[in-house]
Amino acid sequence: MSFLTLDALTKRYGDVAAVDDLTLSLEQGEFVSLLGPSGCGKTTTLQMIAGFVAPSAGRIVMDDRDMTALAPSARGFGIVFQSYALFPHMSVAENVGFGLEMRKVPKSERMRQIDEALELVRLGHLHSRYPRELSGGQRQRVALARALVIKPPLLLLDEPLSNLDAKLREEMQIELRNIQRDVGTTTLMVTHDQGEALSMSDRVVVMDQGRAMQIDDPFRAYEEPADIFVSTFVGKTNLLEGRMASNDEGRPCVELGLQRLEMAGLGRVGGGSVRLSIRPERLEMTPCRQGLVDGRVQTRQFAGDHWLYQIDTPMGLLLATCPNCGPAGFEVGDDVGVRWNPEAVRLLNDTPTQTAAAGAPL
Amino acid sequence: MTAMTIEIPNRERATSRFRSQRWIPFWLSGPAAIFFLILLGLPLLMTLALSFYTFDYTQGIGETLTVSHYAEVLSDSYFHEIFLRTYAISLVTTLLCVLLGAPEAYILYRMRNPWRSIFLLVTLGPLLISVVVRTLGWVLLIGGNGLLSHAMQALGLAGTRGFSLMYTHTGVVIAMVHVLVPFMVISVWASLRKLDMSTNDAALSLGASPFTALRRVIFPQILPGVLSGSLIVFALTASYFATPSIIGGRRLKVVATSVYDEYLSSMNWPLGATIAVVLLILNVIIVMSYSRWVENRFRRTLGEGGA
Ligand SMILES: Nc1ncnc2c1ncn2[C@@H]1O[C@H](COP(=O)(O)OP(=O)(O)O)[C@@H](O)[C@H]1O
Ligand SMILES: [Mg+2]
Repeated sequence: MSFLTLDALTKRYGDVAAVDDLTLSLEQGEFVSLLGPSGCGKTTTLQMIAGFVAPSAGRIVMDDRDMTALAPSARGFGIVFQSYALFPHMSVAENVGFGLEMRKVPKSERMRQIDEALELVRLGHLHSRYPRELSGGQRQRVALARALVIKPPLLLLDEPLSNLDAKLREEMQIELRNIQRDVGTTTLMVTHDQGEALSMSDRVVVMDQGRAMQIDDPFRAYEEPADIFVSTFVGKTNLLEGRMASNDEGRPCVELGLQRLEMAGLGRVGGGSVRLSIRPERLEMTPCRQGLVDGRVQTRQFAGDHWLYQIDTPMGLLLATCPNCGPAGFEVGDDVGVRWNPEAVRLLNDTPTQTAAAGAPL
Repeated sequence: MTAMTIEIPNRERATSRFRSQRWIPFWLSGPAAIFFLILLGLPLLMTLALSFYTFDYTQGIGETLTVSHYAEVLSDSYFHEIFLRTYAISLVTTLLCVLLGAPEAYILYRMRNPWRSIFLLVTLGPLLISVVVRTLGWVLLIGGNGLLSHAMQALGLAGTRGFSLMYTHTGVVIAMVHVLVPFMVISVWASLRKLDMSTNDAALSLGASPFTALRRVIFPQILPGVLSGSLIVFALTASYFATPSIIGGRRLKVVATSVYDEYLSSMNWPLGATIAVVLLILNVIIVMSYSRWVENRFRRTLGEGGA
């Protein structure tokens, strides 16, 4: 039996569903991310779990206990807000101790636990500072300590790192995950940053317009995107159109460039064309006429650890990345070939509403 | 700074521009400052000077200087009473403005539009109407022949002579609170605009009841607004003229009305000037020590000069 279950959770504002029929189970100790573009309903989901927003439908069950109607204070969840929501008139220690005070923990015990929590986030020396006197990263840690000190069964993080600069964000990603592993608190994090979600989570819930499009571990969410939305939102991708055909033995296959691909799941596709996805790093650039399709290099960008090429081909504009092993092999304007492994091609579920939105370069 | 620009050929121009730029603030604020000095500083100086001239009821203002008016104001229990009454009314008015204005501002803040805008307009709208008109409105309500009196008579709570709050402390305080509470609302509103409401959610999630969250988390954050609002209300009440003069009249003199009386009834201008100067000095002392205290109290938590 799972630890936390969201059962068909729905929130409607007027006619729009901010969260639409979201079902999700979290195991004890798991780190799960809600990933999606701005406005897709991540915060609303978190607020419903926290108890600040009443669901229009659905249930929130924890350890077989229905929490849907419980007041926020009765749920006892630890929450880190996007703005950190530190109490500006209280010192760091008072901030962290607030939850303990509400739980009527005696003073000496409270002090000990505050010290412990601040030690956990490596802020032991900033006890008596006020939030204004802290840097962004330090505030973030105080917020985390304040949420963890009450030993919550569930930790909710709303874009906890989005206010930090890039370098600090990367450090905090690692640190946050380490702390979470140490204390073992089941955690649900909201983020719009796919890199963050992939690198930190045990599982990712990719959301769009209030619905969960795919719930999977990060590797599978990236490697086996369920549909066009997921494949374009999680990482970069090339969306291609393949034509349905049958091979010599009469089995259905897809024609892509010069390739004929036999893929699982083709049976339920009718005739015509199918949507395929292939990641830029799976495309290999070759001299002209040695690949599966020929094209001309249109742009080239240097990104430190890799080069990013846009190649104009009869199949459309292809995005290819090459790891940086010395100077770039191709110049803008060069005629090149592009090759890929049949296993790298993914078949996408093609739901009509998203096809228009994804705007694939074909 | 200049040392670094030494090698630059057009340094001459750069420094001269730098120098003239430094004066721009003075040029820009100059006209207003001069205007301010003439209209406020000069009369103030003249009042101060006037307070040291002798006065005689038959000969008027004399030629010689004296401190006898100060001695009179500081020693006469008649003036002590007026000053005490003034500050008592100010204190009570301020407290009532806090008790009414702070919750009012918070409730307005938690309202949704369009109600928020509508009620904010209702609250601040009276500022657009003359104080005299508003105070006369209160006379109609609380006067001997007013609505309140009729209502009390109808309920059998007042005799046939009616019931009047005119010329009473209660009447003055009620009208003063009504006139000045918008200043408290504005001041608290300004703090609320800076408030992060998710701190309220944070307190709730940490196990606080809504009331505890309000008391421990929200109120301390709007306290600077309450304190600076109190300062405004207190200082305004202590020197207010229109409302005490209409509702308090001669029977309930405050400092401002007694200055007026000295000038226009007794024609004793030096004494009037002395009372005004004493009031000013007391107000400045109160305001400065209060705002220094507030600043020290909030510097670390809520930013420079929380008030
Ligand atoms: N209180 C509200 N009233 C009306 N609409 C809301 C409210 N809160 C959120 N929404 C709408 O719900 C959708 C999801 O919002 P939110 O959960 O904040 O998205 P996210 O956190 O993913 O950016 C948005 O379209 C937003 O406009
Ligand atoms: Mg959000």
